This record gives sequence, structure tokens and C-alpha cells, in this order.
Amino acid sequence: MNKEARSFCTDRQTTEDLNLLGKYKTDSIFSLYNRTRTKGGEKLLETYFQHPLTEAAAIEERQRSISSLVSKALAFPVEEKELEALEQYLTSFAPVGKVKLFTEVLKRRSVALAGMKEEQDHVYTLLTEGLKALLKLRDWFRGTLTGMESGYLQKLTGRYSALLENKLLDQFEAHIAGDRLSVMQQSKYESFLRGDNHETFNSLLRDCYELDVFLGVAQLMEENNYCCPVILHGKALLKLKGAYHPGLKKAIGNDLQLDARQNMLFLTGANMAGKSTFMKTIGICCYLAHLGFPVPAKEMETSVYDGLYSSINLPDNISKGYSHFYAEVLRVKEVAKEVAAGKKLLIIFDELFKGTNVKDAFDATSGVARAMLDYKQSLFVLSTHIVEVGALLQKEAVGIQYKYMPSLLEANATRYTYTLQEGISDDRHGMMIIRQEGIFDLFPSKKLRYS
Amino acid sequence: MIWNTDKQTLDDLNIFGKKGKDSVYALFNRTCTTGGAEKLEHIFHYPTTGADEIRERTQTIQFFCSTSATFPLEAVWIEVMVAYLSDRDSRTLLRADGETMESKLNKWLKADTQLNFTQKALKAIGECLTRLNSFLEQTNENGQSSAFQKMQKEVKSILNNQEFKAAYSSLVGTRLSFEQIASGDRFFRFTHYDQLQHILEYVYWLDLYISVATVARERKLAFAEVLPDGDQQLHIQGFYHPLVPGALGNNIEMNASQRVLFLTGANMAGKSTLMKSFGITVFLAHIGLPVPALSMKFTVSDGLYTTINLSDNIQMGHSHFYAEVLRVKKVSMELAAGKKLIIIFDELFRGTNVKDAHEATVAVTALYSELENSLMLVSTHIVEAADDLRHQCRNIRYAYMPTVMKDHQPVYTYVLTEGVTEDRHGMLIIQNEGILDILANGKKEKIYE
Repeated sequence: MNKEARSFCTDRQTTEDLNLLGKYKTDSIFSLYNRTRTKGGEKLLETYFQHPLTEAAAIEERQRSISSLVSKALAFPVEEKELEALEQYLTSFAPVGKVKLFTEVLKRRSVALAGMKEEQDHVYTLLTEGLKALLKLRDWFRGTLTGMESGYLQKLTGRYSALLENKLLDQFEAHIAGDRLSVMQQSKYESFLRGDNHETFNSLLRDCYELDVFLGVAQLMEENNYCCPVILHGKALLKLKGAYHPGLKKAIGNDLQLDARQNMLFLTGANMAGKSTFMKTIGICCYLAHLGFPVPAKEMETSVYDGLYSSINLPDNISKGYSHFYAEVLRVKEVAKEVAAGKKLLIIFDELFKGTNVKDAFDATSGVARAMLDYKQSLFVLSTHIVEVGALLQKEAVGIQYKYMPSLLEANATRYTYTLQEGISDDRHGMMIIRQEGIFDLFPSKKLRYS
Repeated sequence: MIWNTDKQTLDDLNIFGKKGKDSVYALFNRTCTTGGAEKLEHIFHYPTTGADEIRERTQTIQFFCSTSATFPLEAVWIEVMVAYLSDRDSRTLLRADGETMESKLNKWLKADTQLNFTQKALKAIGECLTRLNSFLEQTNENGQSSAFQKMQKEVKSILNNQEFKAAYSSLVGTRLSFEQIASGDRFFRFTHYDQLQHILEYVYWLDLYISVATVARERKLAFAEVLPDGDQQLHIQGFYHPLVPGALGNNIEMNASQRVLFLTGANMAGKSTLMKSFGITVFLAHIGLPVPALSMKFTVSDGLYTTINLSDNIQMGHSHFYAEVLRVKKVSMELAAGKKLIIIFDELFRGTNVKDAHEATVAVTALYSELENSLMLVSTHIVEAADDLRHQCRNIRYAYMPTVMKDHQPVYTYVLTEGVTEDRHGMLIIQNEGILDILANGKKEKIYE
């Protein structure tokens, strides 16, 4: 498996539309899934988010690991500081033979005797803190994890049992409250970490961080009843049941099925009816599925895609002299190239070509929609204000689903159900909003004509 | 009375602009003194509505424009004077009597900084007032009784007052003795402080007028003529955007039979720039400054509101559309209150679906065209709105910014032309980018092949 050759295709516009990344944004999807207790865990989660998986097997393996941790009520036992000491020790010093190490320790301690204690003190602290972290891990592995019904955990504990059950650790434990370590002892422990086991310790650390990430995600999954997507092999397919936006408190779930027969969703609805939110939900679920993470839905089935592109909040680029419309054209071109390259993609376009006149927008939207429809390996989600495009496509194109987000007029107020309906909506109440604001009532003499 | 406008308008028209960027204010600000710059900023921030005031100001600028006067004083003098006059604590007064040994020694060593400063300030006052006096002697009266003229007369009489003249003339040239400094200090900083303030106030206005007149002369700006009160009207010939190099001029006439200018045109044809130039011209005319046009006549309105770059307000939960509705509501309330307004709406209601946008554009435009207290410039992408409006209203002028195709590339003339255009080349841009070709020739996968 060559990971570099097949990375998941997406871009900054997409990750920003879906608000996926962003450690410092409290409402990003990353922050939602970040319940790590260690810095290393957080960093690992970041790399997961930046590099979605493109192999079904890898996705499924991660899913299994996470699911096996659900409702185990486990908490990562080691303090962040201690684990950091271990990591710092392992990354600061290269593996080295026993004799050379002994002279190194001897030299450090002689220098310390001569009064320059800093280096020795620093290394000594890292070493003892790191060993303490190992002791805690050993106890946790030995006591709590071994008995767990989780293939993932058993593999994990099995992999490191030999290393952690080393008698040197017992010796250190016995010594822990005693005197300072002697030169001999210090070099013995240091060579334990930096000898033949060096690489294994590094991988232990990585696995611990991974465990930290998985425990957090599993907890999130359990609390919110997220589901684990079923990964399909073969033709493009995306099936969502009760999917909702994970950032919303009382979000209402919606269903969707797109496949090679109907590979385009044509979405309409009034302003504020929830079109954009649903489009974001689709994108987020798909992205999370490719991380091997649980998704905010009751059920999800998906094939593995080569990439995901969205254009929801496209800004104009005044500094480059692009009008809003031209920015949209360039965006569509960028995506069209990817589609034409034959990749299996999920494409989301919200209100395409809103920066130009109606006729152009109509021609452009219907033209692009029809051209893209031929790429059955990819799935498309489009929304527009120009409902006439829908009427045209219904007549002339096959393979499109038409859904809308309804808005109901109730006693002069609008109610949104946020539940998808079949068909095309030409709901609009722009004029009603204008009337509600009472603009025409301001001129009583003219009122009759406009109300 | 204060002219009605708001931050949205000032931002749309780039009146003050962002720091370090071009702006209309920066264009006119060639003032030498801080006080002059503050006065200019003040008249930009608080435009007046009085026709007389506008006329007076225009005539004053015209006068300085015709005399090609330059600011006669040096900015440093003014700065020193202002700093010197700001401290009026009587304990700092220099005293000619009661000198101690210490003060004598300090004086001899030239180490008394306060004394040195006072001397410098007095010399600046002497130079400044002498120069101003000779400037005023050369400057003829322009025969009107404006507030500025009055101020000028007053300053002349102060400067020619025998005692006052003697006081400042003695400060020029020679080295000042300690006694001279002490008496000058008392005279200017305490007994004749108010007169000096009058003079400074005049100097700031002079600075402002000369600065604006210089810009008007250099850029060949026109002076707008205020028409007597009555039906709202505007006649502008050859107005252009003062911050766009080589901008072309256009004409606009607005009056009771043409209350609305309905503007169409393709993207990038120059609609927004035209609307901004119009707004800037109207704004400048209402603060009595020269305008970027060949000629202009207008009746004074009570305010100007523009909506060109309206942004949504996500924090307040307003969609773009709702922000637009609220904007229209605000303007409507001002109109309903009976104010005479000039209104500029660029692509109204673009944040909603076509039918709503169409309906709303027609409704609002028709309504405003019927009011007796509004002149409006409105642009839209929805050309069909023109057909409805033609049925409903008679006082709308339809004009567009044309696009000419040359070798499949759009060329823009930037000259306002009568009628409604359906120019559009969105599809052309898409074709030029080759999007549909890319898609037509890609690797397609059919179902169940």
C-alpha cells in the first residue's frame, strides 16, 4: 500500500466550508473530536484530520479499533508531563551501545561534580519521569487492559508485554523512593531505553497517542450515539440515514441516497430553510467516514472516494481583481479538471453562479450540471435559487434526485421543518419579509398599490 | 442642520478610506497645519445643509482658486505657537523683576529651557503675524459677506490695532532682551490670548481653503452651482471618479420628471464605479467643495444614502438579504419623515431568489419614483424589472454601461447609454475558461458497463 501515491484529494476551500480543521476554533469538527489528554495525541489527531484514508481496509481497521473501545469506561492514566518526558528523552538521544553510554553518563556526572549540573539534572529528570510513566503504563496494561474484550487492546498489550515486564522496571520501582541513582544504575536504565529497545519504545509512544485519540473518539461516539459507517467496495454510493450537523444542538436528521444511477442531488429551498447546513452535513459525514471515525447519523453506507470538494462560502478575491462571479468560474474549473481526470469524487456546490445575472446563471448551472452528470463514478450535490434550472433538468436529464428544504407559512411567520422533501421548491418569501418590516406601510398614501 | 448620511455611505464612497489608502478626504487634504486638517475632517464628517453656507464656501474656494494663493505661513510657526499657548498657568509667567542669581546664571549659560522656548515661540508669533498682515494687505476682499469674510475683517483689524501691531512687530529680527521676552510673554499668552486664538482659527480656515483651492486648480475641478429651493433636481455634466486615473465623464440629469435612473450593464462594465462617482460628486457638492465634473447645478438635499458594498451580519444572524431589507427600511423611514434624499442602490436584493428580487426591486423602485422627496440611482442584474417599471412609472430614465465584443473579448466603453442592456457574457467567460470542454472530454464512467 503506497499511501503517498493516493492521498485523499481536498483543499482549503473545502475544509473551511465544512469547518473541519482548526485547533483554535472551538466549533470546528476537529475540536469536537478532540478529547485527547496528551499533546502527542492531539498532534496525531491533527495528522489524521489532514490525511483522510483512501484504503477501505485501513478505514475499517480504525473503525474496529474505535468501536472496540466504546463503553469500556477507560481513561488514559498517564499525566501529560510524564509522557512528554519519555518522548523528549527518546527523541533527544540517539540509540547507543552500552560502553559508549557508560562513558557518556560518567562524563556528564563528572562535569556535574565540577559544578556544571544543568545537563546532568536535565537528563536525570527526563529519565526518572519517563521511567515512572512506563511504570504507570505497565500497571495499566497489566491490570486494566489485559482483560478487556477488545481485539485492538489485546493486540496492543500483547505487543508490549515483553518490553514492559522487563525486570529492570521492577528494579526501578523498588528504587523509586530511595537515593539518587548511581552512575552504574543510571547508565543501566539509560541503556534500557536507548539500547536495542529504542525503536520499540518509540512505537509504544505512538500507540499510546493513538489509544488516547481513539478513547476520546469512542467516548464521543457513545455519548452522541454516532454510527460507524459501513464501507462499501465497488461503484459510488452514499447512503445516509438521520444525518445531522454535529455542531448543532437540536439538529434534525435527514436521509439521502446517491449512487451511480442517481449521482446528483438537486437541492432547493428558501433562504434560511437549511440548505447549506444539510450540504455541510453531507460533506462532514463523508470526510469523517474517510478518517475511520464515527459520524453524526443513525446509519451510513459509503464507498471510498478519492476526494471531496465543496464550494459553499466562496469569497471574491478583490486583491487578485476577481469579481465574485469570476472566483466561482475559476472554482468550478478547478473542480471540473479533477472530475474530468476520472477521479471518484464527492462534489458539493452551494448556490452556484450567484454572482451574475439570472440568464447566465441559468445557462451556466444547467450546463455544468448536465456535463458533470455523465461522470457516474462521482457524486454531486447542487443547490440553487434558480428553480427553473430544476424544471429544465427534470425534462432533459436522467439521474438526478430533486429534494427541497421546506418552509411553511404560519400566521405571518415562517416555520422551517429542516426535513427534506421530494421535489423542487419555489418557496420564497422575500416579499413577505419586506412587508413584515413594514416598509410600504411607511407611506400610507401609496399603501393601496403595494400591499 | 446636519446633513443625513451614515457610515455605510461614507465607506461605500471611500470618503475617509482605510489608513494609508487613497480616499476622497486624502485627495483634498493638502493642509499645512494640523488645525486645518482637523477643520477639513470636520466638514467631511458633519456636512451642512444650508444653501447659503454651501454658496459661501464655494465662492471662497473659487476666490482662492482664482488668486492662486499659497499658504503664506510656515507650519512650524503654527505648531510652536499652539504648543506655547496651550500652557496658560499664570505661575509660568516670566517676570522681569525679582531675578535671582540662579536665574541670571542660567540665562547667561543659555540653560533656561523655558526662557529659550518662550523666545522661540515669540519669534514665531512675530514672524507669523507680520507675514499674515502683509498677506492680508495683498489679498483683496471678494466683496461678499460670508462668515469667512467677517473673520478675515476681524483679523485684519486685530493685526492693525496699534498696540497689537507694535507688540508683534518688535518681535521680528533682533535678538530679544529678557525684558522684551517677559513683556511679550504676558501680552500674547495672557492679556491678548483671545485675539491670538481668533487669528489661529482664521489661519486654519485659510489653510483649508487654500488647500482645497490648490487641488481644484490642479485637477481642474468644477464648482457646483446651488439652485434656489424648490423641486429637487440635479444636473451634472461629465462627472468622473476622482480616484480612478483617466476616468471618463458621464452626464446625469435628475428632476421631477426623472426621479430614478435605472442602471444595467454586464459584470465589470463599470456600473459600481459610476454609482460611486455620482455619490462622491453629490457628497462634495453638499459640503461646498469643488466636484470632479465639468459642471454641476443642484438643489440642496437633506441627505445621501448608498448601498453598494453591503455585507451580511452573521453575528446578528442577518442573511445578506435581510441586511438589504433593513437598509431599505432605514432609508424609507427617513423618506417617510419627509427628508429630501438622494439614494444609491447597487444590485438591490441580490441575496435572494430571482422572483423575489424582481418583485422587490420593482416595488421599491416604483415606490421611490413616486415620492416627491427622493432622487434615486438603482442598478440591477434583473433587466426584466425594467419592463414592469415601464408600465407603472413615467419618471424613470433607463441607461446602461455598454460592453462591446472585440475578438471574443469584452471591451468596456464606460459611457452611459440610453436604454436597458441585456449584455451578459457570463457564459462567454465560462467558455473562455473551457470548463464545459474539460468536462466533455474527461474520463467518464457509465453505469454497468
